[in-house]
Amino acid sequence: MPDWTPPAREEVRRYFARVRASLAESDADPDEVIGDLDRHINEEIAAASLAVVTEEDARRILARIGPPDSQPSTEPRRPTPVENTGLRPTPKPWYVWSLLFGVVLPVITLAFEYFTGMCAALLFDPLPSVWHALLVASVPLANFLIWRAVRSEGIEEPARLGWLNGFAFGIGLVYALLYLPLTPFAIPGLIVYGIGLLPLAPLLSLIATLNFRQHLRGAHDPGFRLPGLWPGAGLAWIALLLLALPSIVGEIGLRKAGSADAATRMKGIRWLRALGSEEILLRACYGRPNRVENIYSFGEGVSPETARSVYYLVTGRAFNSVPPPKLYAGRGRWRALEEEFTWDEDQAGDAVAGRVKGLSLASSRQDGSIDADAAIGYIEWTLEFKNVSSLQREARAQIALPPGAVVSRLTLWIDGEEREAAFAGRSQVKAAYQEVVQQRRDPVLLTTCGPDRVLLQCYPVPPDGGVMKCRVGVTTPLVLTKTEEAFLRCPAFLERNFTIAEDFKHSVWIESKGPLHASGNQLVSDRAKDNSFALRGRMADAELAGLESVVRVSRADDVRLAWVNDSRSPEPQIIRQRIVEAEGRIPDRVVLVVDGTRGMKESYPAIAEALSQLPGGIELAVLVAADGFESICALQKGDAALYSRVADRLRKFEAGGGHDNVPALLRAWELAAENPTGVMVWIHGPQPVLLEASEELRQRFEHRGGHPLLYEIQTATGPNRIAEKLDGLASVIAAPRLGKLSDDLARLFNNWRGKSIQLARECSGRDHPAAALGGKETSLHLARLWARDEVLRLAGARQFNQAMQLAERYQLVTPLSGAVVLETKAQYDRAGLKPAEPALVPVVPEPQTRILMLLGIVLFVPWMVRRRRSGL
Amino acid sequence: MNDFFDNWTVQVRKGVLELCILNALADQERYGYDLVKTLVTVPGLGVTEGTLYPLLSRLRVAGLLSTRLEESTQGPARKYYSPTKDGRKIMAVMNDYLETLNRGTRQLLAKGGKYA
Repeated sequence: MPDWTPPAREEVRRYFARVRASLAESDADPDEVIGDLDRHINEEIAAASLAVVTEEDARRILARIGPPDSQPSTEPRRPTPVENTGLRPTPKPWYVWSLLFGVVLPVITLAFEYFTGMCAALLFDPLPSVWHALLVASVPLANFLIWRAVRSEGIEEPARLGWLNGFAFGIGLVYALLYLPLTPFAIPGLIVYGIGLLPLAPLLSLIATLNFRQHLRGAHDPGFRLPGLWPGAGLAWIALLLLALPSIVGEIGLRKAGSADAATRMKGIRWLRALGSEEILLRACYGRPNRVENIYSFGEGVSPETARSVYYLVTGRAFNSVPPPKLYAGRGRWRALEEEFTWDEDQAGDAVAGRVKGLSLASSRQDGSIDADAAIGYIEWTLEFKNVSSLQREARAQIALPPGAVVSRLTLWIDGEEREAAFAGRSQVKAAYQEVVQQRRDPVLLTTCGPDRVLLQCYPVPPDGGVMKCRVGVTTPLVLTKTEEAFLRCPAFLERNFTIAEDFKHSVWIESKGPLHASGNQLVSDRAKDNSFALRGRMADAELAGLESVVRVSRADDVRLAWVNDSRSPEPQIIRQRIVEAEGRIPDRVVLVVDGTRGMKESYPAIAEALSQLPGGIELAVLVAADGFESICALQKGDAALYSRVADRLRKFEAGGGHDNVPALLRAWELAAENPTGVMVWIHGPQPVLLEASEELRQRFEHRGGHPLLYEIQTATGPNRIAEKLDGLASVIAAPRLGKLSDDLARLFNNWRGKSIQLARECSGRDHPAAALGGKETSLHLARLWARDEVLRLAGARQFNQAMQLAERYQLVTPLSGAVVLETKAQYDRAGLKPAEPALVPVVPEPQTRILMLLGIVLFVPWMVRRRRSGL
Repeated sequence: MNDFFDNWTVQVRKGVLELCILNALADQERYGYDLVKTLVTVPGLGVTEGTLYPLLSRLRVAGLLSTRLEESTQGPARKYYSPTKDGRKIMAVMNDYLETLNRGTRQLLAKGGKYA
C-alpha cells in the first residue's frame, strides 16, 4: 500500500466534498460515486507503482479525472489528455531539440542583438524599439509555454496556446523572411567556421514553432482542430504593421512630396505635416533609412536632396539645424564600426550639408577692436575643430558677417605655426583647395556664399581626437543709428556640419577707446592693458548668433570724417569716410511679404506691433508666403485702422511647416514695380532650401536696376538661400538686426520719413590730404572697406578683372575672390598663388598706418630669412 | 462555425453516453477502472472519469446496471458492472433508434434533402 502524505489526503478529501455537493440534487448515489472514485484513484496509483502519494500526484490524478459532474458535460468538448503510461514521462528527443531551437537560441540571439546591436551596425536594425524586442521575445515565450504544457501532458487551455503559437508563427515568419537573404552565407559559415547560427535563429525558431504546434495538436483527439494559427499570425502582423505605421506613412508621404507633379507634391507635404514622423524624415535626409520597417518599402525611394527639401517644407527647419538621427543602433564595439562607415558625401563641396559624426567645435574665441569715431571694427575669430572619429573629416560652416563686413585675414595653424592665406580669384582658390583635399593635406578655404556670409572649409581635421585650428579676420563698418553711438554685431554660425556641445561657450573680448555696452548680461565691462574700455565674457552659440552679441559703443558726436593713407595702393591715395545724414523718402506703395513658416509664429506679434509705425497714406499690400502665397491685405490706401486690422489678421495667422518664399516675392515684385517709388519689405525666417528657381526674381531686379527696392529682414539665425541668389544686387538691402524685431522694423519705417545715417567712403589723391579737413586718422581697415565697396561696384559694372585684382591687392574675400591656406610652397606654386605676408595682415587692435609700416619692416626681414631657410 | 459545432457535439454526446456505457458492457462485465479507461479513449466522446462514475451510479439506481465487488490481487477491490435485463432491452431499443436515425440522416444527404 502506498503512503499518502497529509496534503495529498487533504486534496482528495476536498475533491470528494465537491463531488458530494455536486451530486446532492442528482439521481446518483453520492456515497457510491465517492467509493467508485476512491477505487479509481487507487487503481491509478497502483498502475503508476507509486510508493508515496504526494500532493502533486493527487492533483495530477484528480485533474485527469476531471471535475465532479452529475450530468454529462454541457460544456463544449474538452480534448482528452493523451494516454499516460506513467505520471512522470521520460523526455523525448524532440523536447530537447525544440527547446534548443525554439526557446534557447532565439533568447540568446535576441539578447545578443539587443545588447551589442551587431546586426544594426552591419546591416539593418531588427529591433528599432523596445516594442519590436517584445514582439520578438513572444516567439521563445510562446514556444516555452507550449513545450511545458505538452511535456506535462496537462494541457488546460489548448485554444489559448494555439493562438499564442499562431502569434509566434506570425512574428517568426516575418523575421525568417527578413533574414532569408543571409541564409546562403550563414550555412557555409556554420559548416566551415562554426559560426552563423545567429542569422539562422529566426528560421530555426520558426520551424520549432511549427513543430510545437504539431505536438500540441497531437496531444488531442485525431479530429481535434487546434485554433489560432492564421488569426494569431494575423494579430502578429497587425502588431508589426502598427509599429511600422509611422515609417509607412512617412514613406508614402515622402514619395508623394518628392513627386514631379505639383498637386501630388502638395498632397504629400500636407500628409507629412499631419501624420509624418520627423525622425523618419531626418533619416531620409541622411539617406540611411536602414530599419526593419524598410521591408515594407517598395521601389526606389527619394534622394537625400529631395528629402532635405521635404524636411524643411514639413517642419519649417533646416535638416542640419537639428542633431543628426541615430543612423544605426550599434552599441559597444559595434558603434565604432558605425563611425567607420559614416562617410561625408559633401566633402569639398559647396554646401555645408549634414552633421558629420565625431566632429565638434573644441574652442572658439573672438577678439575684437572698435574704432568708434571712425565707425570701424575688426574681429578675429579663432576656431579649433576636434575629430574623435577614425576618419579624417572636413569642417564646414556658413558664417554670418556683420552688415557690410569683409573677411580680410585667414590663418591656419600647421604644426603649431601660423600660415597666412593666399587671396585670389574664387575659382583659383577653390581649385587649389580641392586638389589639396584630394591629396589629404592641410588646406583651409574661405569664400563668400551670399551677402554678408562666407563659407569656411577646413580639411583634414585629423582622426582619433585630432585638432585643426584656424582664424578668420573680419573688417566691419559699425552701424550708426545716431551720430553719438554705433553698433557692432559679432560674426556667428548660420549653419555647420559639426557639433557644438550644449554647454559650449564662445569666449569674447572686445575693446575700444570709447565706453562699450553689451545688449545682454553675458558680456561684462573690463579694461584692456592700454586702459581702453573692454567687454569680455562667454556666450552660448545661440547667444552669439542672437541679439546678445550686439555691442553698443559711444562715439564722439562731432567726428564726421575718418581717413587713412592707403599704403596698399600702388599710387599714393587717401581713403576717406564721411558720416552723412541722408534724407528719407516715403514710398507711395509698400508690399509686405511675411514668411508663413512655423518658426515665424513667435515673430507675428512683433511685426503686427511695428505695422503701426508705417507712414499713413501709402498703398499697402500684405502677402504671407504659405504654400504659394496668401493675401491678408489687398492693395489699398493705408491708415491706422487698416494697419490695426492687418495686425489682427497677422496675429491670428496659423503658421505651419516650411514654405517657399519665392512665389510670394515674385507677386510682391509685380505689385511694387507698378509704382515708381514702390518698395518691398520681406520679413522672414531662415530659408535653408531653395525650392523654386529664384533666377526669375534676380532677372527682374537686374533689368529694372534700382527699383523696386527690397528690404529683407531675417527674424532668426540660419541660412538664406534666396538671399544668396540675390547677392550683389544694389536694390536688395539687408536691414540690420540690432534689437527687438519690432524696433528694427520701426527704425526701417521711420527712416523713410526722417533722416538715416550712412557711411560714405571715397578715395582721393594725396594732393588734398584728408587731415586738412580735420577728420580722424584711422587704420587700414578703412581702406579695406573702401576696396570692398569698389570691388562690388566694379563687379556690378562687369569689370571683373579689375575687381579681382583689387580684392587680391587688399586681401579680401568677396563674391569674386576667396582665401586659401595651403601647406607647402610647392602647392602654392602649382596653384599660382602667393600667401599673404605676415607683416601685411591685420591684427587686433590694428595700429595706424605709420606705426604699421615700422612694424612691417621689423617683422618682414626675419620672416623672409626664415622663409628662405624653410624653402616655403 | 466552431462554436456551433462544439455545442452540437455536446448535445450528441450527452444523448449517446448512456448507450455507450450499455454497449461497452453488452458482451462482458467490466470493472469500473477498466470501463472508464475504455470509454475515455473513444474518439469524439470526450468524457472524463468525473462524469462517468455519477452516470454509472444513476444507471444502477435506475435498474439498468447491476454491480458486484470482487477482491483484486493487483490493487483495491474491483466493482464489476453488467447490464440488467431491463438494461439490455433498453439498449436494444436505443441502438435500433440510433441506427434508424443514422440511416435517415445519411439518406437525406444522399438524396439531396428528400427523404423517401
